[in-house]
Amino acid sequence: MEKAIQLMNTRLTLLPERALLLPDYHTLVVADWHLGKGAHFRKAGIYMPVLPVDKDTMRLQSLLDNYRVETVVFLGDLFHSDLNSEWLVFERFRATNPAIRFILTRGNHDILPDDLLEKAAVDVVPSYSIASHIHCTHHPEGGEFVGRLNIAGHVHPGCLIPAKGRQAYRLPCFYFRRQTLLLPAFGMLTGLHMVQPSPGARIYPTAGDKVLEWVL
Amino acid sequence: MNTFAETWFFNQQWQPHRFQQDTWSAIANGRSGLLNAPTGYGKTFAVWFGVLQRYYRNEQRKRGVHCLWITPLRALSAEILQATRTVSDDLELDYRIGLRTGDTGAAERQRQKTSAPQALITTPESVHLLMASKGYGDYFSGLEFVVIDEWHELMGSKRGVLVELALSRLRTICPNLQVWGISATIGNLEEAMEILLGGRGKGTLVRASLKKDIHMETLLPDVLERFPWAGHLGTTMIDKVLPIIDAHQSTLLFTNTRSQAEIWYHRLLDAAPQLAGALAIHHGSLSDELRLWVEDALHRGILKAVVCTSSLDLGVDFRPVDCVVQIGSPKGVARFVQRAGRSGHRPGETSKIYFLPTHSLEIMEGAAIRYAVQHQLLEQRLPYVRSFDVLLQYMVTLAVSDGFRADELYNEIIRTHCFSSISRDEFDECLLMVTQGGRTLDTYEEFHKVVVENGLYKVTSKRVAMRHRLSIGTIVSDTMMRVKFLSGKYLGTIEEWFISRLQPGDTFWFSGRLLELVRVKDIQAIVRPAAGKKGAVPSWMGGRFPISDNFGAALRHTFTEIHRKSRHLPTELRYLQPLFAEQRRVSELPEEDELLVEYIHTRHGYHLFVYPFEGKLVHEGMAAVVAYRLSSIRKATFSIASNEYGFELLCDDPLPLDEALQTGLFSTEKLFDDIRSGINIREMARRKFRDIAGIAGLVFQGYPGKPMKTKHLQANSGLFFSVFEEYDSGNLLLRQAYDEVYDFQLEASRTHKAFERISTHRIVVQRPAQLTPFAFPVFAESFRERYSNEDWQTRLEKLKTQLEA
Repeated sequence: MEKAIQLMNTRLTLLPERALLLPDYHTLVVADWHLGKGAHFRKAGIYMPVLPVDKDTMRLQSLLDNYRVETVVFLGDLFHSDLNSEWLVFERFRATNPAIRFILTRGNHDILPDDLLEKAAVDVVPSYSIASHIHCTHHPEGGEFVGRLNIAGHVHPGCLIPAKGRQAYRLPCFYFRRQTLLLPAFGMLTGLHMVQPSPGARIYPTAGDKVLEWVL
Repeated sequence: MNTFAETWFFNQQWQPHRFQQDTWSAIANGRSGLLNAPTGYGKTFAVWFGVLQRYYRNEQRKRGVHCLWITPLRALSAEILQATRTVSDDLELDYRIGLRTGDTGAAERQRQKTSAPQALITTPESVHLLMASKGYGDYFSGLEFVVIDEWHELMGSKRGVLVELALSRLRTICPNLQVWGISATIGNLEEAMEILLGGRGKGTLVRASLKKDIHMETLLPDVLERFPWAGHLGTTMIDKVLPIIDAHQSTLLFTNTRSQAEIWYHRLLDAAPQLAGALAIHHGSLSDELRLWVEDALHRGILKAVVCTSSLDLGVDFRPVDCVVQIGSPKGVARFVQRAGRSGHRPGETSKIYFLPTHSLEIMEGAAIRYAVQHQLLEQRLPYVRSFDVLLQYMVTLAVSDGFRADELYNEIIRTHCFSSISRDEFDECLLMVTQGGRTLDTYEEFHKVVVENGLYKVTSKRVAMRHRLSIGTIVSDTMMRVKFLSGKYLGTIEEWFISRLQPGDTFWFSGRLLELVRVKDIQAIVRPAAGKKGAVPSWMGGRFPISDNFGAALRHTFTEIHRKSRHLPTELRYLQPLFAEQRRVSELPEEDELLVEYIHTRHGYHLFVYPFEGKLVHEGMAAVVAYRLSSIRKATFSIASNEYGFELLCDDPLPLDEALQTGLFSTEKLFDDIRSGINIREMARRKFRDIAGIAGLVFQGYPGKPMKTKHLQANSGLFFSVFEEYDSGNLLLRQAYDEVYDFQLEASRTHKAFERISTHRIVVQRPAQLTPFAFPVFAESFRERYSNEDWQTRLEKLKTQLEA
């Protein structure tokens, strides 16, 4: 069950699949997939079981099937490191969705050669504007530009919610503060960076098939 | 007869102790063994002169290393080096001694390679590093002795497994190797010797019959009524400590955590500014430079007091120290005795220790520890078994240098205590993990670690080899940030998560100073001195050690004395009478054959307190069983806390207590099943897995303080744990994590005994209106387990109503 919110006069749909939909622009935004991470570790001699990477792909595919999406923006760190065989998974996924435009705002992990991305018809840009006031980047801009909504990745936000009976939930989340909306990392091989609730911040944890709002 | 010893002792005008003579003659007869003697009586010489005599017994002497002396601490190595070099100098022997630790520079290491000294004083990690360099077989071919100093310290940790593995290989290289351990008194000395010597009946156990006198006193607050019911700092007792510091030459104040040490340090200075310059702080996160300065100043007698943690439990003796203060629960008998022994350690002197309780009920522990020391209830050290993480690391270590053959290695390691029970299948699985990354053969990516050439397992990649050398060892720490001044001066390390919660400009206490965070750069926290009084105090993980079983028994004994007539009562219990009276007034003071249960409703939820007085470890297991049984009646989620006296289950819904009691909440029926189903073992295993992942080389961290840049290879152990669980559930390392929980954390057999004992007790249920003196300290425990059998959906709904209410 998604959560529809409005930020800076823009309708946004926060999806429990850890992606963001902008229905008015038929655009889906996905941050920090880190595809190829498992294989990268194995190549370095670090034991990592072989994961069905298709799980992430299927999750993304189901979003493309269920919503009207014309553009997918990857907010950086699409592929974890140097080229390895998991890139084939992405190429297959690309071929299945020829009508959709793929854009990558380059992240610090995106070191794949440009021609590979070109071949997969991914437009690589430093930043991407969905509309004049909606700006997508990998690193958050820090709210310098008045009136602009910055959608960013990189951080892998997560939150620790204290609950009754002295319990706590540790969940990936969307995090909005000072014009910047941080997206949770999409890939399953990613960790969490805990963000703190602070005045003016809005935290939307994802849990199971829901997106909630943490009201302090 | 040992002529070297006789000459040297004669020149010093010393009389050898009986245990020294016994050790010399056992070594002369070619025996291996274990020496048990207190510090300060010359146990180093007891072994050292035996080693010397064996070396000079033949005219023909082999070149190369003759003796490896392994210590757990670098500080200790320096002391051994000094003592043994003095002997060589005094007797004009050509027996050279070198130091080989993580601090040894490249030039010195090269010299030790080309012209090896007769003895190397080293650490378990450095021995493994030597075995990771080419030609180590030749290097050690002339070895006759391995001495393991402070074996009791190493044995209960995975560093002990490193020692076992190193010995197994060295015995193959040198079949006539003599192995000697040196150990303080522990509950299982015989076993300690067997593990070291690789079997029963192989060695000589030499016990020094010297007994150290300990004077122990509990510091009691002036007014019990104003002393807190819970807490762990104890700083309200500062006024009791200052006169003690004044009255002695040099006092060590031991705290149980590093953050507590920081707090005590600046509170002491606040209370007694005249101590500035004569008071120091010492704990494991401070830079070597700072710690060495403190140790040196202690030696020279210029410090009145040092606030310290277990970082000063071991190691060099400080002559000026004539008093010790233990702040907070001593947790273990052996540790308490060891800390006491840091004062007045010279032969014939009495050790003096004060126990400073941090909350009311803890005062009782003073009586318990005295009873335990009097009755010599010293703990056993449990050795690790089946540590596949260490085995994997060791395989790669051997593969990095000269390579190994599978059959040969298997036959060696199954002779160690740690791996005596592993099957060939399990061994082969380890081989698969280092050669092709696991059992799954459909890996489509080439796995680069160990390769097999003609049956020889080798590492061929230079990068893998280098990364492995940098990660040898079993001490795993959190990601640490280096704390530095703007000038670049290095102060020590703090866990990353603490710094990540601070903003530039925030202040915190570290190394006894108030610091202001200027900025964070990579893994450095740049700070400047701050003015003022207020700052956060970092807490370091891993500061928590649970109480030992023997101390638990002593506590239970003490508790049964509560009801005795006051004339024979220990001081502590007599002092606590008003507290017991209050407990009786608001609830009940249980008799020896009673189990008190308190059911209390507060704004936090519904609390169930149970007081078996079994010690923390057992309580964790019992709490889980009770949680499971309650939730089988009605689904629930609990937050669980426990301490030395009892445990608490906290739930957001009312508990079906009466029904549970009728159906046998504390019965022994189906107990083992209930332990297994009840405990949130997954969460515990997840924590154990942190170390395992580090040791097995999954999570790479490099040396503490010398982190290595790894391109895109960072992942935390929690991620590995989840991935293994989901996609490789039979994984050996994952199983090991669960085994460690059962063996070390739950101690299922002790929990069973506790339930048996309780099953004969009358259960007294009280429903007080608020938390009682017994309940409060348990409730205040900040570390909590969770147990739930509600499904995710239900929990989510609850969270939702709470969040969006």
